[in-house]
Amino acid sequence: MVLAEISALEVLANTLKVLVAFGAIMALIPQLIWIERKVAAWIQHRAGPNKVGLPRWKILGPLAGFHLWGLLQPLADVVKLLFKEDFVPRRADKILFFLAPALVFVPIALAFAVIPFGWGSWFGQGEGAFFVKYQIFDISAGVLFAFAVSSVAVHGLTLAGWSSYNKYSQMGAVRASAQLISYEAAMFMAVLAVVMQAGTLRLDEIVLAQTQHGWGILTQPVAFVVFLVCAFAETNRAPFDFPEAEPELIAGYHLEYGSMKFGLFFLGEYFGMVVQCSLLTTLFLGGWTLPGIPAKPDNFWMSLTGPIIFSAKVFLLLLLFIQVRWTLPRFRFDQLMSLGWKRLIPIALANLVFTALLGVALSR
Amino acid sequence: MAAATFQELLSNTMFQYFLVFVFTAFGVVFVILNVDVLGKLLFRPVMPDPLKLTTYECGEPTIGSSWVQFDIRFYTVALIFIVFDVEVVFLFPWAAVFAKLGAPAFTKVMIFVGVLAVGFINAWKKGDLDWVTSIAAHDLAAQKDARLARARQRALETEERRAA
Amino acid sequence: MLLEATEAAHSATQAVLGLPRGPYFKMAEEIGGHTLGYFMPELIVCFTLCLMLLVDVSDKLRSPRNLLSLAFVGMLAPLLLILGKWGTALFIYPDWGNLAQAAHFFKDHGYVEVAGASMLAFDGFANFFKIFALASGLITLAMLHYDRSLPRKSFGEMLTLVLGSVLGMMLLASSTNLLMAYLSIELMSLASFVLVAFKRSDRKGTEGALKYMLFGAVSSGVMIYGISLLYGMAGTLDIALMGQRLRDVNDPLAIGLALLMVTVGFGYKMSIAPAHFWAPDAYEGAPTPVTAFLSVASKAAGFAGFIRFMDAMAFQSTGNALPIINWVSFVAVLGALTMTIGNLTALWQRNAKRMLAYSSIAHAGYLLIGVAAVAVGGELGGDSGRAIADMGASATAFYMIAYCIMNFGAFAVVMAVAHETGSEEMSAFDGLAKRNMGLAVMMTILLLSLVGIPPTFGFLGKMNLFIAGLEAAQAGYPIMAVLLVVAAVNTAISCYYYFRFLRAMFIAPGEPALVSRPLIVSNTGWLLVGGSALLTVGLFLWGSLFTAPTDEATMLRRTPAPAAAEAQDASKGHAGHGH
Repeated sequence: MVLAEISALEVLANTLKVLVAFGAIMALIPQLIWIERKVAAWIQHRAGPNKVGLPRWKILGPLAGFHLWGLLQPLADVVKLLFKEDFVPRRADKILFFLAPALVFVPIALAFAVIPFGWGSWFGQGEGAFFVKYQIFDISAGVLFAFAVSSVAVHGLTLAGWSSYNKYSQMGAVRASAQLISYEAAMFMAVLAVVMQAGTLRLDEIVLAQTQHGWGILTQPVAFVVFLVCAFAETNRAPFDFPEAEPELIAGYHLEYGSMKFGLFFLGEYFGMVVQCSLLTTLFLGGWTLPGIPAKPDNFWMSLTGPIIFSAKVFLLLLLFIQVRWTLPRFRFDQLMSLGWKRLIPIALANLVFTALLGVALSR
Repeated sequence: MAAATFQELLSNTMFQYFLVFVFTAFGVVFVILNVDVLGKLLFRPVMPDPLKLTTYECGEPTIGSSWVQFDIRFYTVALIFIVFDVEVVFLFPWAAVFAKLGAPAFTKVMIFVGVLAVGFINAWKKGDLDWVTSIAAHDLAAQKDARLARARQRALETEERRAA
Repeated sequence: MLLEATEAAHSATQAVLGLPRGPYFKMAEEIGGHTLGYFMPELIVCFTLCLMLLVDVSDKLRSPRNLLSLAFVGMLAPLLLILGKWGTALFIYPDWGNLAQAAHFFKDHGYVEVAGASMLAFDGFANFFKIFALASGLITLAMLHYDRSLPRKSFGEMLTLVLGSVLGMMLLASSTNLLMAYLSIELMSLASFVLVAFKRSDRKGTEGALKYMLFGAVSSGVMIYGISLLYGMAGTLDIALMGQRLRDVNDPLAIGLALLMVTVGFGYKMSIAPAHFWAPDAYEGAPTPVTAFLSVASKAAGFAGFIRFMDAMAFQSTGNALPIINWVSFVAVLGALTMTIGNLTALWQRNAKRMLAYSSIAHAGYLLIGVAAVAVGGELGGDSGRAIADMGASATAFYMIAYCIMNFGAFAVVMAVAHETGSEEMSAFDGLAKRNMGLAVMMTILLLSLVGIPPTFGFLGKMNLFIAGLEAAQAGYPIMAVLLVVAAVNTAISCYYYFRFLRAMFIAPGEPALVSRPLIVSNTGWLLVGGSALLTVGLFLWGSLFTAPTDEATMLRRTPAPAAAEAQDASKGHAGHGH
């Protein structure tokens, strides 16, 4: 495949793939928020959102005014955010204040783009046939790219807190950056063990390697646990929601934000959750594959099983995330730090050395 | 791979990075659309008020600068993190091919990790990883413990007296 | 020994170019096993450093005595090892076969040429400066042991930093690659920044360390800009190869600017004139042992790096000097400027340490006479040129030994006085002769040596420098004569402030209450002060003891040009031919 040989159709198909994947995520995140609120309500014996539903238009017949279990609540929230007045505090740094939400959102989206959600399929016949991977882009150092890009988001949080010119925001930002970097180190080391086992930095090859010698959760259970805990911390969710601890910091780094700028932080947080769950699925749960279903399907319709299986796994993990958030109370900050540095990093390091030792011993 | 595949590899990589570019552009456009353009099209209200533009600190008037000093320990954490981050960056390429390189590379990497572990142990034992390092805090905790112990002792004694 | 190593390396290089990966690695390992022995001194220091970090956190093992003995062994063992390797030289070849292949690959695809080149040279020059660094490290240990004002609790950290700094100096003396040189400078600088600020509650120390660090950051930034420019023009970081290739680059302004920028980086370490501003504050604020260490070892390492760099940039054995910078005038002007500024500023100082700091700047100026002679010799080329350059390098090394002994001694006296009086001001020396005649006499000897007055080693050192300078001047470089006149005038000026010590010790009445009390010096103190004073006098008689070692330091001049390696293209590294 030389660059000149890539047809316009192929470029179009790939661009379309980008649009579809991005659109699907953007459409699903509001529903995720609804699910989170419903689960929270269920755990706390409340009703949760149950009012916003279909309008009372006669044209809808019997469905007019149906509450739809509050399913349209997130839509209403988004519309509300869009119609809110957008102002910047007088003493804030105008440019950075605008840049920060973008810096939170775009890197997370980029990290998602290297995750394979299926094998791919051939399109067209004969000479013009081309293969479209079910992965927004496929680069050789996928693992490295995903983690490198997603760690850029910490700058967004820090800049948000700093540019707001607010004591609480600044505290939240400092805490956020300390927390994110503390858990990043352990997370990377957990991933290293997986990479060593698969012998590649491509995420799709890591998935395929798992079809051969078992899912990562079985072969690397320690790394899985470390990664999972770190994923909670990286998404700033309870029990690690220090950056926005309401009782102490009001809302942390996005205290001064309103309207759609706040919306982007909100969106970024949930998108981050989706990305972490996708990474967990890819690295430890066999990605788009299931035993019994071909990992590399040969026709278009079979190739659609990949995205379905992948979404199901991600969805289950998301439920786990939500459940953990509403079950565990928040740590103290010193506990957070000692968990990260004194427990997870030594464990991950030991796991890394053990994996390497085993690998060298077995290859002999 | 044969030598000719280099061109292929290069162009495929270029194509993938072209997609990276498209996707990033898409993300940036999405952000701008949401934050700025869409709002203006939807007649986002503009009702300026000087009070709206003040810093929000739960209704209290703000005192002093907002660039408050924060704890030196945050810097310590950042410094130790840099060490680990760099370590991981060095280990990634090795991890991808470690099975092929075998024992010689393994020993070298273990020496590297060992040197880092020495630093980590040193930092740990010196208390750089402890969040509560202030002597005052330790003293307070010790005082509290002593007070508790005394109270417990007193309670025990009264109980014994009562029993007697 | 050297010839064998060279042969083996040659055949390995040949093998790399033709053979696939399997057999090559075997060859590399053979050579690797061979060369690792040369690197052993550095490895030992490195290992001791790691061990020190562990011992320091063990509650059972961390006593100052244990830590000191560990550091002592960790520096003495490499010193003996290097002495064992005396008279040998080795230039390490790349042992990354893939790099050679990669170089071809990238070249075929139109990229900049990637040259796998040597990083370190283990020649007589490196050996001399490594021993120098280790020896001054050992003396510093004794001084640290003697200094009672230091926080004993963080002794381990301090020793670790000294070891790290010494490691940086050793590597700098060996570096034949600009990046390696840069990293070594960074290693030793970072350690010394912390050392200067070691008394955390001391305001002067913190101020000095901050100035030192800011200055260091700026000058190493400038240096790395210079290095990147040179790399862009030459396509290699290997200094010998760079010196050759730069001759084909027709851009005098860019090359001159880049060379100047790199010189700034070295100049900062040598504390020569326009880059000396950090020195007085850092020296005054630092704990005295650290001051002595910085003013001797750190400076010597800077000179080692600079001489190697200048030598490679300007002079190859082919004799074609790089015509961009007139190194002789450049170094001579720097030297004159440095000694004049150092001496004139020292005149006004009231603080003993600050005065010695300016005096150490002035001494850097004297040392530049030798460096200028090296430049003259290189520019002349041929046998006569080599003779002059050898004289210059040898005189520089010789004077450095003298300077090491007398400077450590002088700082030890300052420390002894400061222990009793709690002050490092000149006034603390008032009436010292009445309090402790022995100490005053020792100090007098050391001061005479610092001025360069006959019955001392300092005189021999200065005489050697002047002889080398005179030879260079006679070879048709009048600027050297001017430099020597300036140096002579400066020596006369320096008498004034050195003799202020004498006046204070022997003539000034001093405070009656203090003078009546004798000044007690501990055994370690006597060992340091007395040892250096006796050496200063004794070596005046037997100074020839050091002729052979300092001649060894001139082995640098015998490094052949990388012509052979150039022909072999991809795996560059300059081939050493034994002498």
